[in-house]
Amino acid sequence: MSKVNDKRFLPEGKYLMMGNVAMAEGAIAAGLKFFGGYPITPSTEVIEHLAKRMPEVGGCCMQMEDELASINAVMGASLVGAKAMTATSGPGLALMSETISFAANLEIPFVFCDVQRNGPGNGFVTDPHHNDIGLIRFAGNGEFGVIALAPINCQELFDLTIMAFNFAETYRCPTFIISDAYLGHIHEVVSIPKKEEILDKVIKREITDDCDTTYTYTYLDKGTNQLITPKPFIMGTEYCARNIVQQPHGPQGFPVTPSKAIDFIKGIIDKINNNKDKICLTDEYQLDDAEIVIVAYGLPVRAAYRSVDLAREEGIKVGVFRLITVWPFPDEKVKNAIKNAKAIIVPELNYMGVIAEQVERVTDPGTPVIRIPKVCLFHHPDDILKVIMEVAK
Amino acid sequence: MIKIPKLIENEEKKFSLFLNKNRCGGCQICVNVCPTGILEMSDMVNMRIAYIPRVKEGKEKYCTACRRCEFGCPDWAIYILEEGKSENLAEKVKI
Amino acid sequence: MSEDAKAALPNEKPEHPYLEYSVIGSLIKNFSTRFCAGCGYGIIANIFNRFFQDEKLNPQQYPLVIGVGCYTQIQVIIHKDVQKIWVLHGRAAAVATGMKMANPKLKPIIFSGDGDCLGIGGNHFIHACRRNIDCIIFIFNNSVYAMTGGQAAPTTLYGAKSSTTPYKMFENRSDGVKLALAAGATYVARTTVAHPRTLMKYFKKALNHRGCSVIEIVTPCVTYFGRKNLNNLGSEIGGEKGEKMDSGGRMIDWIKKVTVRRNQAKFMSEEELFNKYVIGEFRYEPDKPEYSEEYEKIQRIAREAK
Repeated sequence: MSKVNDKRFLPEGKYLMMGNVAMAEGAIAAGLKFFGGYPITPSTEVIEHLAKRMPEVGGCCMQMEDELASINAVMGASLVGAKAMTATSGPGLALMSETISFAANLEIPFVFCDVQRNGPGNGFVTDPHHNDIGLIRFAGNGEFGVIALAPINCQELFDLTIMAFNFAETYRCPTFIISDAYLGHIHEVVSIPKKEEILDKVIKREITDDCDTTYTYTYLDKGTNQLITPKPFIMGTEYCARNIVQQPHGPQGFPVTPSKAIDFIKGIIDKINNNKDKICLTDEYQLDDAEIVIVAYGLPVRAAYRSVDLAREEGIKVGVFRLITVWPFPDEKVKNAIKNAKAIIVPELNYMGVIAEQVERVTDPGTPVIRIPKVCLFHHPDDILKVIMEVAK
Repeated sequence: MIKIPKLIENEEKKFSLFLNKNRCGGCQICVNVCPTGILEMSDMVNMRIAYIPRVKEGKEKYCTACRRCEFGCPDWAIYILEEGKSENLAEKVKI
Repeated sequence: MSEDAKAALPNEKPEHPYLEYSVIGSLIKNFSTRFCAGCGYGIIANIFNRFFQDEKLNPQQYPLVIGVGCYTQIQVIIHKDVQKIWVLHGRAAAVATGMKMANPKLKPIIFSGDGDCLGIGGNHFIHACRRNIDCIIFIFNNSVYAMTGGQAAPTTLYGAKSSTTPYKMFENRSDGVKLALAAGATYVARTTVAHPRTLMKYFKKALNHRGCSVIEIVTPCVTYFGRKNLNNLGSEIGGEKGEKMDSGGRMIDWIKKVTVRRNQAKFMSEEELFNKYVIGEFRYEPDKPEYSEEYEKIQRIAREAK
């Protein structure tokens, strides 16, 4: 591994950073080596910052000619052993979905930061609107598993990006960071830990001696009946898959007969669903004696915290259950978080309530699930408080 | 190992032209490409139900081992083996 | 012929000298390629294997990026050590850019067809040439979308019939070489499958050239282009009678008829060059700065800057 030059890590301390910049710094701390991107509001600051920082780190930041080229360049870079990432917004994600399914088939690890913006078509380009969640879950043709993390402030944008790179390296699947136009542009204090702390958290992209080309893709170990995902193969070295083909393939990459295609699909989906305990991160706030539970992710969580404090002053027992990993949806954790809740409130920054549906699927019919949809604007704590008061009666 | 008929055996220049009968697709490229026109399509049919080429009567000695048929064959069926000569064509190619 | 000379001659059962280097040749001695009889991709694979084996290219330094088309099946007969990857339709140039910039020691070789490179992947092709990324882009020009059943491609000749131009191809055809020249590729050449030795020469030159080299190869597609069209394409105005090009040999003859060497094309008028392929080397500028070298300079500046 080349000498870890000091420019990769900012000196330890507190910094005032824009959200997009914090995410870019998190990626560099995680060992980003290639960034392919295309300017699109509201994620342009990511490529602007990386264009300055990547050469310092010995990596490469390329502004490609369109979103398709940038995601495909990320594929090429990740195949050749470089940690790679792209950042775009809704329209970019739609353009890149074919390549995301290409990456899922070949289990190419990469991180995708989706700085969401308003609604179908171009919409209000500078207004947050969590409308891509539906697309992120099934980002591309075909069935495959993805991981999506939802930070709520700049500090988490830094930390969760490192986490996203680790998930991408271990599970070799498309890993999304769900930010939005507001979160990407606010400036907040980010405390950067020491270099050593980051370094032992980061999973390096390297070829260890137990890598051999008989197993370069996810395979079902006959003995333990466990799905094992080997380290990502690297083209241009001996540890390269013998056959790299986007068809349902066996552990070495050679296509399988159609009767065995389902094992391949099971592999790329269950390698994530079987590890939900390790992947699904959640957070609680005053949940132990709560009768009303607020389930939320992303920015509405911040308003929910405030509304819980206000409601607690009125004597209403309310708690917040926050999803850090939005997808795969943590079913068990949500179930036992709301098992003795009388009512569930889901404030979501979109109208169709993509995650609210998941919550309804998990709750038993008795308890009502109330949605608070908001588009382009934010949940004000009083909006949530009003709903809490009605429900409490 | 199937027996591959030897179309031409040229003693002076020590090369022989081989045709892998069953790999030939019957596309007649070698017939058209041969500069001295010594090949023609025969009425024999191979495993791929394709007519395979053969050397015209008495024209064996006109073959100059120029390998155009070898390079032009999409199925790698017809090829020339020269005794002793290394196959390394890359050096011969001058930039 | 002396006894030992006869013994030295290869015996009755020698195989094609480069068969055991191909993927399927190393597994099963005797094979038939998946291409139709007379298709040019078998010829290209033959020449690529010869070069890969003779030049002893390090397979880890030349990843093979294969687009989507009939030539995707070339992976069965290509050299067995080559590290090859199938990419999405048209995105080969972008993937190669990512590979090159992530690991500047590599020199990706791109196989893409005329529809794949000039149709859907046109934007990536133009910008890969503009940036002068160190890679070799092969454009297999068989003037149809052959894998999906012979539809018309951006390079289909005027007056040709195909499954999406049942009456006549009336559109103006796009020219890969002119596009590459305009986009700024530093080594541009066109050759055809009927001229295999020039293909070797250009391939060797591209291997040693640091920069984006574009080699367009005109290959015959007998099943979908040859059988449907007569060999007087475009010159039927002059009343030339044509007959069907339904075999590989006739298509190779037709290709030889419609190819014009570059120096000869200088003296030919526009009408004479109608529906003709001009072959030769169009540009060779070895000293143009290559993209990854320039980026290394920027990395040095960035590292030294305070």
